Amino acid sequence: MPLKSFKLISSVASRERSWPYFAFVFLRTFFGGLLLVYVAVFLSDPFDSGRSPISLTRGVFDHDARFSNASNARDPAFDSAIFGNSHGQALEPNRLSQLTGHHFLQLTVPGTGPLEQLTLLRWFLRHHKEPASAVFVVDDWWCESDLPIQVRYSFPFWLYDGWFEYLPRLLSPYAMDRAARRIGLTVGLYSRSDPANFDDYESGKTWAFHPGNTIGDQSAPVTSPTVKFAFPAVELLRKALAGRPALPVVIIMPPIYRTAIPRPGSVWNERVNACQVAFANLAEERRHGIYLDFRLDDDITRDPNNFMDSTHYRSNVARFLEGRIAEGLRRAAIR
Amino acid sequence: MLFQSQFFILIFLPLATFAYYAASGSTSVRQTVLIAASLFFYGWWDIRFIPLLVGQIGITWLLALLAARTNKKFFLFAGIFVNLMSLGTFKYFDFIIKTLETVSGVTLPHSNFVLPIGISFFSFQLISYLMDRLRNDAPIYPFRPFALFVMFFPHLIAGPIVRHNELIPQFAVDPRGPGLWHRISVGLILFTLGFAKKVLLGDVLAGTVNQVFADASTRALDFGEAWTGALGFSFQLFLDFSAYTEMAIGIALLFGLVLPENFRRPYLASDLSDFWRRWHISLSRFMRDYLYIPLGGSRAGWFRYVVAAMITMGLCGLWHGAGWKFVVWGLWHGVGLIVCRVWQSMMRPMPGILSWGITMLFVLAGWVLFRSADIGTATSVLGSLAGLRGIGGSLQEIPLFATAAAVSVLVPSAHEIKESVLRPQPLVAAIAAVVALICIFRVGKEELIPFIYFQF
Repeated sequence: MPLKSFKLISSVASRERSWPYFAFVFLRTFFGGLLLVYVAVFLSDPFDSGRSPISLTRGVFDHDARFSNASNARDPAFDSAIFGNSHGQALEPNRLSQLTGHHFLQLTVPGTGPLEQLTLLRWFLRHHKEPASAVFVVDDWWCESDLPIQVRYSFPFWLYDGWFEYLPRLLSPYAMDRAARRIGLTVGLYSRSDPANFDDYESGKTWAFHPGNTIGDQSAPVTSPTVKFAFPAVELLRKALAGRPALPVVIIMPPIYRTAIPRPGSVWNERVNACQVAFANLAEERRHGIYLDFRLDDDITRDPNNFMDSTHYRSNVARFLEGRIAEGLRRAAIR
Repeated sequence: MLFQSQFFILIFLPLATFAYYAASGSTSVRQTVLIAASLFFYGWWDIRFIPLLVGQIGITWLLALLAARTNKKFFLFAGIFVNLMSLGTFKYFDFIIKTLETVSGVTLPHSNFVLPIGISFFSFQLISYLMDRLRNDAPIYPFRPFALFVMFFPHLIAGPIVRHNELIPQFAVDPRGPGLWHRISVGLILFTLGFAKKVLLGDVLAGTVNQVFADASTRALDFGEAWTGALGFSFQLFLDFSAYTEMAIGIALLFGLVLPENFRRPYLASDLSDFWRRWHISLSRFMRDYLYIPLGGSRAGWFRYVVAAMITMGLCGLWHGAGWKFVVWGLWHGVGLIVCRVWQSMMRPMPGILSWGITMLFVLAGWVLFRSADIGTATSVLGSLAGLRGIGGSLQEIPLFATAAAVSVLVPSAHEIKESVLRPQPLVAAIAAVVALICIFRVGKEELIPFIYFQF
């Protein structure tokens, strides 16, 4: 056999032999690397949700409340929480703590509706066997009757759910990012985000609210007085709180600028009125429950200086509400 | 189930591969495993689609069998009719109704059928088989390999469009034979290449492109925006579709099966005919063999050629989507091919760079039609592209576009990688595995972006 042909055959044979090693290197690197990174992310407990056997430092470096609440809501330094969305975000937990003697943290998340807020309530209750109080800042989204209840923006329900939902999500860019932050926090590269989770969105900004035309429901008055409204979100709240009958609860419907209030007699106004009755009944049923309604046509809601926009009140109103909430909790406690 | 999803890559594909090789000693069990995996894969989208897929396969096979037993071609025509009716009902019924409404001004009832994913692809494969039977160019296969030929999950949703005689004979070959690890290695590399093109480039381009074309639906774009949208979509479409094809070919190789090539660096095409020899090759081949040549092709005089080219390309456009913009896109390419042929037969050859530039501009204008919401929007974008509204604004995302352009023209095609480029160097394997690792974490976000061709 000529030498050239022999070399050719030898080279092909050697290449054929090396393909198994090529595939082996690929599979070993891929699955080995995957396992290594996954285990590291899991052990770092990227969201400080208490699922890792290794205990790194407490808390997270994270300004996204959707994720950071998994850590904050477990913090034993707090025994009370505020639930809601941006309509409850201006309430300052430290002030509420001073006024009530409880230890409040903010668990509000902007853009969330009832399902997200109830998820956070369940998570908070799961990690606090004896909570001191809970405050719910409810809005129109709680008064919708359509099923399924809407989730308007992305929310990590899996983070507050079981292992089966949680574990696959660790294979993600945000879990890796949070794992790196947790490690950075542990070695002192970062400092912990405010565990009470208060974000003063008024701070450092100039707000100028110019109320325009009316924007609430201005449709003709409801002609049929027999309209029955259903409030599935209120029922879900009732169920979520049923296991803690002694927990003092304050439910408030915060003020909105008067032009955003639906016209009396309009469908939406009737719905919100019925919804308020449903909340009032829920509070009344509880051993220590109070419902506070601030959606009124009064001095607060007639002054544009009290608002950043038609549905977000400013800090001066927040201070007023904090006082009323504290007073409500005192009243609820002696009921 | 999307190829780039973690469930597919980490659960479905390893399990299907393991089961396949565990059963590889028996041809029938091996095929059954792949059929079961394909049905699971297809049913993942919507279990209601499975009866349609299985029904079309079963009816086509039965009619082909009946034709063979009775020696009557009528059954083959009936099979073609059934497949065309299915495609027409689910994909084109509402389009026809809307067109009738526009013409007559009368409101008509719509079907509002959900488009079964992949219907254009599997219907074409079934029709091609029946047409080959008509030409006495296909045997009657046993049902199991025939069904697997149509529903083999790597190509089921978006091709490559495979001919029966390319795939069915392979089902009988034991995948553990010579070259096993070569095929597996190439499969892993091609899958990773497609995965990276889709996740790291195509999906990133999608954000910019979607924004520009959404804006184009509401207002006139400036010069810079129009070029950003047109160039962005040209790269996105190629990277997205070629990524799907590479992943499909790669997955098939893991099972020891070879799918035909679909792309050959189309943005290096020197003229429009060359472009169609490089772009969606399996569709071009189907159109050529089952439409263009039966209509006369280029050997029956100029008139027949023009008619054949225009009908073929018009229907090629309509195959892509039930809308007039797709028909116009197809006809645009038909005209381009005719002009190209006339020029080549009558004039001196153009300098290569000039020919390439004209071809790319022509293709890019076509992509604007393809991507725009409607013909009116496309016309507006083309006007902005041509500078009819001035040359204001600037091209966005230049580094991203430069990377996309480099990948589009420099990265070898799946066929080149399979046949000659890839060598068994462990470093290449390790680098590819790290890229795959980056991509698998990247796709762990909430929503995955489906491949563009899934809508066809």
